[in-house]
Amino acid sequence: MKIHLINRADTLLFYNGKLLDIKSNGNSEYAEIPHSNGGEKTSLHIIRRSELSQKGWFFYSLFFWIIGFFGFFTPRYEKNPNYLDCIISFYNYGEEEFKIRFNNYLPSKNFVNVNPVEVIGKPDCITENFVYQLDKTAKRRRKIYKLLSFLLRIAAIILILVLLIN
Amino acid sequence: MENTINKIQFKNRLFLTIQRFNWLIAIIAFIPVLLQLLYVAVAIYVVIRLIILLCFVLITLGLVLLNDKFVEMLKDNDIGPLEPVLEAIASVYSVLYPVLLGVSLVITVSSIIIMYKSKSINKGRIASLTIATILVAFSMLLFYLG
Repeated sequence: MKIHLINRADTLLFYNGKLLDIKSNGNSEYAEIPHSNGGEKTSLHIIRRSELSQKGWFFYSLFFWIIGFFGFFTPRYEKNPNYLDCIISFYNYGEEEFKIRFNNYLPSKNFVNVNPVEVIGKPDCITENFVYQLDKTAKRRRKIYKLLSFLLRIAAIILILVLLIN
Repeated sequence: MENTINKIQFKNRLFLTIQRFNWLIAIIAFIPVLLQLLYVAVAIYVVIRLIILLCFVLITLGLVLLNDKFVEMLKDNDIGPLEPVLEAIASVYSVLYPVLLGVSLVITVSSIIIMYKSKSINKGRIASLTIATILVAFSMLLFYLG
């Protein structure tokens, strides 16, 4: 079964707990899931998650702060981290194709629920949790990271100045 | 699933950080080229200034040469402290360039190998890494040829 992915950005697709290999076909992307002749129920997990929402976020960000030379050379963390854990359930009848269109509209200030996933050409599928949710934990952690990063940079400058003077 | 996401995010961030370092190397490698361009720009400025002053001499039929300040201005064609700076930078970069090119090449080649091995080929990333390395090689070539 071939699933065409339209406008996918950083969302990941999982099938039976395994990451689906996303292939590129010129300008479009697609993923293939194993054929099934019996029409068994299949569920596809579509996940988008902030890096700062993981358990070891502190050491993760500290590691990149260090190797990114005081955090200057590592990409910034998302200002408004949105969380998506959507499940698309459908019956797999083998040689079939359908499309999933992604909406990557991520509001910056006022959080508005938008439909992040739209299934085209598969009317019998059931979509669960298809809303972006503001990840408040990741947002709070980002603030902590920014504060710590600033303080550590100041401390590093003071340390360098002290070493230079002595 | 959780571990897979963590691994992918870690790898992506690592690649992007390395990519930024590669661009930093390209910018560092381009400094002597920019200074050479500055040197050329200063030289052009001196020539234009001299032409304008000579025009003044022609317009006033040489009478302006009686003014001591103008004669001083005419004689003052020194490019300034740029030459010793360029010499100092040239001596540093003659050693630094092979190191910069080596590091840039290692970053690019290893990143591309990792991308192909993990089957997560990102054409944009490969292009960015390659352009940065080409810039380093190009500025090194200009430096040694000049």
